[in-house]
Amino acid sequence: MIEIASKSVLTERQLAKLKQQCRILLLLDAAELVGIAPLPSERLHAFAYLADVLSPVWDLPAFDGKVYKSDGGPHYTELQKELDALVILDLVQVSNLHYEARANKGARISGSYGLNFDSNHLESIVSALGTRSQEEAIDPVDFALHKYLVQLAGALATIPDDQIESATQVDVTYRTQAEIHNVVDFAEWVDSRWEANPSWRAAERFKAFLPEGSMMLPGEKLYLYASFLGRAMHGK
Amino acid sequence: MENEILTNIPDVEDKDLAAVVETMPKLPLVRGAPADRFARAVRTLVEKRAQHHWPNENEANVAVFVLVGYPRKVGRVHGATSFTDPMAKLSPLLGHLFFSNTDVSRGQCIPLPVTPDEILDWLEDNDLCGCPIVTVYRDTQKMVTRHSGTKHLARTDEIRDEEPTATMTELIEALKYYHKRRLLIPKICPKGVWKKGVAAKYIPGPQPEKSIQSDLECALNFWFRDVVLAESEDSTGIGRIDVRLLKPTGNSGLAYWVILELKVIKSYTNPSDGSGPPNVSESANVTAIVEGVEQAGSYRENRHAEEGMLEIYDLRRDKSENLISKSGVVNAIQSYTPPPKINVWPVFGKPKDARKAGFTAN
Repeated sequence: MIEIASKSVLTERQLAKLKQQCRILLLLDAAELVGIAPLPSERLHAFAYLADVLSPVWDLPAFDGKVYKSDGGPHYTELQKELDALVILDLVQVSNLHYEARANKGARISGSYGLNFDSNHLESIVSALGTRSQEEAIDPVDFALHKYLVQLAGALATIPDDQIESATQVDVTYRTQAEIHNVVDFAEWVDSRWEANPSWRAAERFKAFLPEGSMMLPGEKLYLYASFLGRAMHGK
Repeated sequence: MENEILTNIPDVEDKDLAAVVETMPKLPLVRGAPADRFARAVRTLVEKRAQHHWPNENEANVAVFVLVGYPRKVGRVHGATSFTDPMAKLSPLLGHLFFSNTDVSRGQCIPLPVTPDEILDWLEDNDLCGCPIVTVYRDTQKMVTRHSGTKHLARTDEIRDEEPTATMTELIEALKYYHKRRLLIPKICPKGVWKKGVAAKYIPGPQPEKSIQSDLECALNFWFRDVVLAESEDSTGIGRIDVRLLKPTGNSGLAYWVILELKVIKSYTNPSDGSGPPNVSESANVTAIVEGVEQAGSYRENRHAEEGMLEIYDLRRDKSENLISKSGVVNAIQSYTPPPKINVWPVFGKPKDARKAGFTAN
């Protein structure tokens, strides 16, 4: 049990759900700002994965240091569950609902997700998550996280819509790291996060191709990495 | 971690990473302020269209781009449709109003809701007056940028028929343009070049070089989009490089092309009130120039740049004395091979003085 400032009490599980919901709202807010929302669920999962694997570029911890590799790309069961919960809470809108064929003659319901701008509570919640200013953020780290997500979403916006989810297939960590039971671990139980995360290493290595004394901002590394993924998808 | 940047990554070819870094000048200007980044992205888009004779356009003449926080939220109020990657897709721009993201890669658009003359009023009526706006005119080949919204100063730039190129001739042209359009008189000058309210007395701001440095970096990135990357603030073991220009090597990333050192010469120090005679001596200004020559020459060598240049911004009230011909300056120039190139740009505290010196509005 965890006691928070308001004296209300949350279980570990409730706190985890709340954190997951906050993460989704930050991801969607960034996606809305750069114009890539509404996001089909596969694309949102791909964005969440890339946000985690590239988070060290911004000196932030990964929300989830591992990812489940499903046949359609990265998939986070908990994220999907809380995404649906946010739809019920009327903070997130879902559109274009449809069945999607899966392996072994299976199917799942899929849709596109965006913020519900008609919600009376959305503005105060996203403000408290640091999307407006550091002063309004309950947790100052959220302000930095949001800035990072906006840059990453902007970088992904340079890739054609239908290729954003495919980009994960050519992501260096996703395609090269050994997986156990379809799970790629790049920051959870690894000895060295640097070694286990070649996406991060690739993003940092770009600087080796600038002359001495020149600078490269973290945001530039993200745009370069997105460009690298775009080229890799086209076999360049 | 920093030391390990130089190690290879399995399954990733260095040549692929280098090829990506070579595209840096073509990427969105991440290091710029959002309004500058947005204006540069619009310029890239419309110049490409203009150079291909505005494909798929009808008789419309004007397009308006507005940088908004949430394109979808704004767009749905006005019944807009989404646009993606206008650089690759050749859907019409003219006759449309775009609610765009910072990089003009995504957003929403509608047909222009009013005549082009009325668009600023329309934006004000729809609570968009504080947004950065770029209006594009096909007939005059101009783009008008309002960085801070409808009520603020507008800047007009050319929509060029040809792509920029990394040549010294074009760099000089860019520096001339910058001087005339963004520095010549207080009204267009970046904040901090002159002391607020007393520019007419030729009192500079506390750090005029610093003000010019960041503005010049922005202007050169705007000019040399796609071909050259301008950056500033490099502390080296021997001092600080003001602005450096990088361009692709062709196979191994970016390399220094030009090192630009900036120096301001002036009549007064910042705290003075300008009522008495100049309190910055000629010898102090000469010393500043000699230092600039030495920095331009040394940094060029140190950074293996193709060119070292010294840009002197002359904020003196009386600009008649040619300080470049002074022996100290001549000796400093001759001590470098190749010698740094030097440009002197007069900057005026009063528009009347600029007119007297032969400068006109256009």
